Amino acid sequence: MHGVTVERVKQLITDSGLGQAEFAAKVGLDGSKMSKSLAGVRRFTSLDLARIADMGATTVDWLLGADKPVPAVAARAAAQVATSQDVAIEEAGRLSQLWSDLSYLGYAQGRVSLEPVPKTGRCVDQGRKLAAVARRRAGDERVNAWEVRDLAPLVEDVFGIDVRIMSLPDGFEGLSWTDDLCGLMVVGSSELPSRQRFTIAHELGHLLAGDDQGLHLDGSLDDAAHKRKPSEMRANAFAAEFLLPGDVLTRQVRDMVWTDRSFAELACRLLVSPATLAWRLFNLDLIDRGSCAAFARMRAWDAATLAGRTDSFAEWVASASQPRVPLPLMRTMLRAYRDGQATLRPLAGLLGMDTTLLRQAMGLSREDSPLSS
Amino acid sequence: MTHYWFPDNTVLCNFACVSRLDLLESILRGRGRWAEAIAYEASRSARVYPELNSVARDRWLGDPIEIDDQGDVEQIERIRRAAFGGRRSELEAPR
Repeated sequence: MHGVTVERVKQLITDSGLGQAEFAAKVGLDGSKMSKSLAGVRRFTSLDLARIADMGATTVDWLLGADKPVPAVAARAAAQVATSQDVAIEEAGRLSQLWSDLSYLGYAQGRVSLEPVPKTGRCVDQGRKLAAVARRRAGDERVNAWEVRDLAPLVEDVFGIDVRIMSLPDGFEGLSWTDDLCGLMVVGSSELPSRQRFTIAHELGHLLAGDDQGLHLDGSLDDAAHKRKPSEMRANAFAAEFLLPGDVLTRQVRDMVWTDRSFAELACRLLVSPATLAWRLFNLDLIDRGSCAAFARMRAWDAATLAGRTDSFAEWVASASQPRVPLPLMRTMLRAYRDGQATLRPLAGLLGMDTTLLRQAMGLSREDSPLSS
Repeated sequence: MTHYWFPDNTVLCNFACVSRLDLLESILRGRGRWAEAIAYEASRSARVYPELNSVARDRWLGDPIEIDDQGDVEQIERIRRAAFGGRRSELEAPR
């Protein structure tokens, strides 16, 4: 057994405030066995480690020194109240662990490699070039991001990147995570669906640019200091060009007579917020600053009302407010189950369901019909 | 020789709850073994089904197998999570 295990068990004993013998007793280990193990004469068994990990509120992997690297910010003291950022990071760690475990069973995420875009020149230009590459890739799959309301399945199917949507109540927008085995994003559920959609595109930009190995946090895309970072400018330029390509937008507004209504209809058709559309049009020299300022003040609900699209907008709000598990992960777990490599429990855990109910839902247990006699 | 492998102590509990551990013992005919985690699990389940204590006492599953090789322990953790949906600790590891 590694020296690291002995050191970590000693650390847990110290942190517990208990004596060695008392700690040993609490984990059901004979005192002399504990002494021998700490002296390196006897090796801890799997059961010893499981019970020590339980007692110390940690994992067996950590005791073995075999834990995956977890972002430093995730290591805050457990006593502190978890923020949305902590929750999102913890979720990213959990999902990446699931991919790691699936890899152990012989399954891979299927992430797509794009042709690299050199990180030279202005970061805004890099973002645009990257968006052009991504757009071509999506085009190969016969999808155009500016026509697709729900970006999560597009990101998963076209780029092989997992999208998790979950409640992050104190305004944390999203994060991206990448390691050797998976790329994923965790994004907050939202009653502002076009904002959530932009965040997904923004995180996609980070992932495709390879901005960080490990974790990239986007607490607020509006934060002024955050926005000025080169990687953020690149991700924002990517999202703008990916969702509202210059050539597409230019074509769409040719011969446009600008009124509140025509603008609102365009925002609804392109599935972006009025503010994002206004600034994009201004940056492309398609409207003047005064129009930009006026249109940017329009609220999404008002745009939907002006465009006669309140029903579909309300449905979109309801949809964006819901949590979502990554479908590639779910499909792969299902395949592992069907291949006899895993039980249903990992999949039930991902879906937050009881295994028996999932078995029933999958039709694996008998379902009586109300019409039966 | 056929070996019987049980991932948890559910089978033991099922036989114990109908007081027919003797039937399981006769089916296994000395071919059953248990790992220490299952023995530990059975000792806890014995609070509900006291007859489970007889399995350890009468030793018909032999001495619990102890696994102390680091590589094996890591594999157990992997299989526990990947195949059986075991969870990581709810709390992050201390640094």
